[in-house]
Amino acid sequence: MEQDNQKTINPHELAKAFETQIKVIVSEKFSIAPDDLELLLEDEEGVYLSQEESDTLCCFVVGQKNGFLYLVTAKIEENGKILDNFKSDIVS
Amino acid sequence: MKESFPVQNRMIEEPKAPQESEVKKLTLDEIESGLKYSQNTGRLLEQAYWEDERNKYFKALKEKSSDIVEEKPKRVEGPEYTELKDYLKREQREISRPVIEEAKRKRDQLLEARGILSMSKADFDTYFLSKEFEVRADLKQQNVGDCYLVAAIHAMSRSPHFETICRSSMKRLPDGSWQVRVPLMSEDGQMITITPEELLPQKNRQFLRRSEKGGIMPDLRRKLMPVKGKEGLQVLEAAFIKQKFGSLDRLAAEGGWGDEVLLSLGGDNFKEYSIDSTTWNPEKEKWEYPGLGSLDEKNMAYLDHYLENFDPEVHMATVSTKHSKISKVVGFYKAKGTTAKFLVPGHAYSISGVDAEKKMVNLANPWNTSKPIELTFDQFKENFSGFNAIRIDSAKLLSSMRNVAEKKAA
Repeated sequence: MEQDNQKTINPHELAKAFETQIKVIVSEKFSIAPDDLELLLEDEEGVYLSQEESDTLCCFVVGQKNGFLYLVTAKIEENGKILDNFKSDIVS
Repeated sequence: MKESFPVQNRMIEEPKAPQESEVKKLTLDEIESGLKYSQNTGRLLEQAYWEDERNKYFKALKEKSSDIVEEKPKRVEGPEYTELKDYLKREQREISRPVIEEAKRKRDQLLEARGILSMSKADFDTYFLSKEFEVRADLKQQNVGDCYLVAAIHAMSRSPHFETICRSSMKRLPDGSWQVRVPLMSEDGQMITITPEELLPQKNRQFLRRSEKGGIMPDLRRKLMPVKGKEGLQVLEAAFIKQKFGSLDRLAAEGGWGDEVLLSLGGDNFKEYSIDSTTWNPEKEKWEYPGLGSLDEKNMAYLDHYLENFDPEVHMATVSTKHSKISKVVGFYKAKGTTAKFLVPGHAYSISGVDAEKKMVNLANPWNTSKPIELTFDQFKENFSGFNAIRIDSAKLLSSMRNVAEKKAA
């Protein structure tokens, strides 16, 4: 069932739909102006479904001024319509 | 004869801690400008200060726009430097380690997908890998005093980005010569050509002459040898020398700084982290090397933060040992606080890795990088006085890869 759900979810579209929330989570944690953040939506590997944690969307965000690469994760709820429980960390 | 050369004569400027911020409200432009300057100049403490100011600025903005009517809490003070480590740690992991590790693998795939690589995988394997899947060992500095350069190349080779960086910026031509774009990954980098002849031993013009700096021993090196290692790594050594001095003058390259090499080869894809405990004693009129253990609290917090979060995928570091009190000492000495660890005074080493849990630093001597030296954090701080490191700027690296790719496609 879980596999079926993941097959139907387009992670890039989902991330695009929640772009503002994804930026806000990084912006608030790391005190960066949202305008300085860019989601890597054009890269195939820029957004993906985690194989390590089920129902988890992962999205890379680049801090254009400070040079950090952030990861934002979020739980996929309601058959891929909602993202919840956002978390963010620095990857590099 | 192996020689060590001074690598340690820079002073670290004490970061300025602006006092006016408590009474004067800074504008966002002022903050951004200060932050940019501190980032460009690698002043870590200033950078932390400006980041904190920006944090406060946005917090204040948020409070201002809030509809909640209540007495505003007093302005939250930024972290005191005594709490700096905790402050920095708060910015660490929220996401589980397996997911972070997965993200790192994805990031590497992403970088790979963005780059159009001029060197084939087969050429990289042939000219860079010592053994299968092993690029990191078997560098041996020969009789040229460029320990800082060999250490920096070894530090670079530890990065998982190393293959991508080299393959996108270096090319071996059919006649055996190489083209290297310096800085690597830079679209506007200078193209340096290295011929096979330039990789051969070089006649020493100082042979049997005394050093201009004094001393009674003449230079007994008839020829100056390139670093011993795979050809691609020799090419990197040669490219740095040629780019800096205009010709492949190995004598001129003696003595230097590891972070200068990393910044020169990496360009603005790398950001500098440099900490030095060396101080000038005006009474005795000489440099003193008390070791990294003598750093003040602020610099120590940054050093600890760098070590505890050392990630070879992001960080590259060279370090330098204290100079001997007896000048011109050549050879090894037993590292303080150890039973059988030997170091060379006034010599550069590379950091191969850090075990943050065990608080161990894994170092490599450019004389033979295949033999790791493990020191505890305390032993490391006791015996080393200079820390010259960089962090990969991911945004720049991604941008550079995009630009390189677009330029090649055009």
